[in-house]
Amino acid sequence: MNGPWQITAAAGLDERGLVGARGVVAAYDPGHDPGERLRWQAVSQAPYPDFRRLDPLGKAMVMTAELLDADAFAPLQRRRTAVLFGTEYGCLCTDLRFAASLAGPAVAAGLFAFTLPSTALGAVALRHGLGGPTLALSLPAARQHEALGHARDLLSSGAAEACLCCLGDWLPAAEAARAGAPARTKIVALLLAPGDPPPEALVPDGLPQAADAVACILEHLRRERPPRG
Amino acid sequence: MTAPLPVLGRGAVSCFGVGVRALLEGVFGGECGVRPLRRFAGLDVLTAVAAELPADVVAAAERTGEPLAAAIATAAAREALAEAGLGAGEVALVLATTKGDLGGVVGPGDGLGSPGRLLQRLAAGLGTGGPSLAVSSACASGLSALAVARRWLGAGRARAVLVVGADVLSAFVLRGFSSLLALDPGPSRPFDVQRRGLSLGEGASAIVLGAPGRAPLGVALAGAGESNDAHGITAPSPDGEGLLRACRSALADAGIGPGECAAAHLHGTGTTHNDAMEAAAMATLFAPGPVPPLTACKAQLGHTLGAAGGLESLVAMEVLRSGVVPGNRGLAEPEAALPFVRGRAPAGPGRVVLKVAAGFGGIDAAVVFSR
Repeated sequence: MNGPWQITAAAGLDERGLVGARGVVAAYDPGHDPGERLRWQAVSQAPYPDFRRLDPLGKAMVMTAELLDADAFAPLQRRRTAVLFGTEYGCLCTDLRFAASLAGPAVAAGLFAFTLPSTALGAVALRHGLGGPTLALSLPAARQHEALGHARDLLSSGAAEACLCCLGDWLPAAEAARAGAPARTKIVALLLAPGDPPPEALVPDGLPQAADAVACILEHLRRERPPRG
Repeated sequence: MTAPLPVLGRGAVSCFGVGVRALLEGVFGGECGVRPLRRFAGLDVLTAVAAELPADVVAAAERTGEPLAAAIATAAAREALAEAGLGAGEVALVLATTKGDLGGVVGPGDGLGSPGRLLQRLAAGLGTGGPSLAVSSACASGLSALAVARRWLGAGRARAVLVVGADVLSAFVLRGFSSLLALDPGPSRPFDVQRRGLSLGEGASAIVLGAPGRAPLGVALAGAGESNDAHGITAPSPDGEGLLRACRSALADAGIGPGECAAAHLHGTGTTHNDAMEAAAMATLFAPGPVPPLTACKAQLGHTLGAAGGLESLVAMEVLRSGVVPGNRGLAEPEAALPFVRGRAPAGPGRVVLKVAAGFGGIDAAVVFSR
């Protein structure tokens, strides 16, 4: 099954704020606590009680996916829509928090299921009723855009008819320091679906082959979309 | 639809020892690798058992200086490449793991639980030079990795793909599953009405798949299917809807119907929800025709997480090669009225075996092996 497969919707979340289908939703001052940014009300007023049970990665991914244009999902067969995640550190933030709980009086049982990056993906799939293949791909920051190539492989094989492809990492400074890794709190969500090119370019022509494609995509989205209100 | 992809080579490291032969003799011989905790004796967990690697295997791995997960993955990979008669530079590489090497998260090291870092070690150690990818889809990782390999070969991205699965036990994993009350205090009893949870295990698997052509081992990967039941974060849909779609997708990919299954090798964790879900899915999948012999081997190997799909696929392949279905160890009274094998049984007359898996996040996967 061949394309053309197009990126029909895009949204992102990073230390500077949130940008979605309708523009820049929120902007944060430098140094803003990344944990403080994970508030459901920043993206939607619709109730979502399960949000509080998610781990930080799950919250970031669900929030980012929520920022996508709802109309972009409308023509899709959700049961045939896959969910991929290109990430370097995956659920490392949660792994470290769970590991820390092992030394305490009570193991953080509520975190354990989230010590798999695919659980956060499952939360996105659950929120949007997506029933296709679901997998996390371990890719360094400079190669996370390759997840789109894997998404296209999946679509071409007929395993899915559309793909929600998330890229990035959620590794705040505190956990990054413990791991000896660079802090990185950026997630983008791209919806890959059949269709003609949209009137506006949602991402740069081709994806950058240089470091941090996610940052490039976010920069592009901010340039192309005005702040709301 | 991609043609069947011949299996060219196999490798394994399991609780029964190093090598595919040890794995298959243990499983088909009805042995149980779930034994009293040894490396983790005294750990604060709600079980007294696990399927640990033999002490001499762990010692040999330690002598390599590599993290245990990397050492056993490498050993399995080398066995598979040797059987395939291929050099590492001739294959692409897909790795399935859930936690890889947890060094740096718990204790010293730099693995950070990253599948990508384990992949780097494995690729460097083997000397592979083609495309490589590490996938993580919870306990379905192994079958997802086979599906990735199938797509690569179907698209002509590689002429041969080495699919490796690996995971090792740790206090992190044992205490995690214990905190979820998911562990059986003793050896697990999948599908039994008295089942109380799973037994964890560890190991590594390796399967070399080739482009369509001669199958020197007499078995090929004929189809793959993946889905998400979008029902809950950890609990599967009770009616098995997601697994059912994955199975139908795999069978359609293989171009066959469910009536051609000689047997089905199930995920069979021993948990209340998983086993009930699988039974529901199998009853629906094969209806109105007869359900083929059903088997699972986590009661023998333990739940090896990222290695499970690969290790259990090796068992599924052997069902096809031998015509024998090993029994469900520990199964005294099946909860569901389905043909779960006890002891040993001949495989059905069909020409394929279905292998299935499920994982947290609503993930389901299925593959079809054919003669």
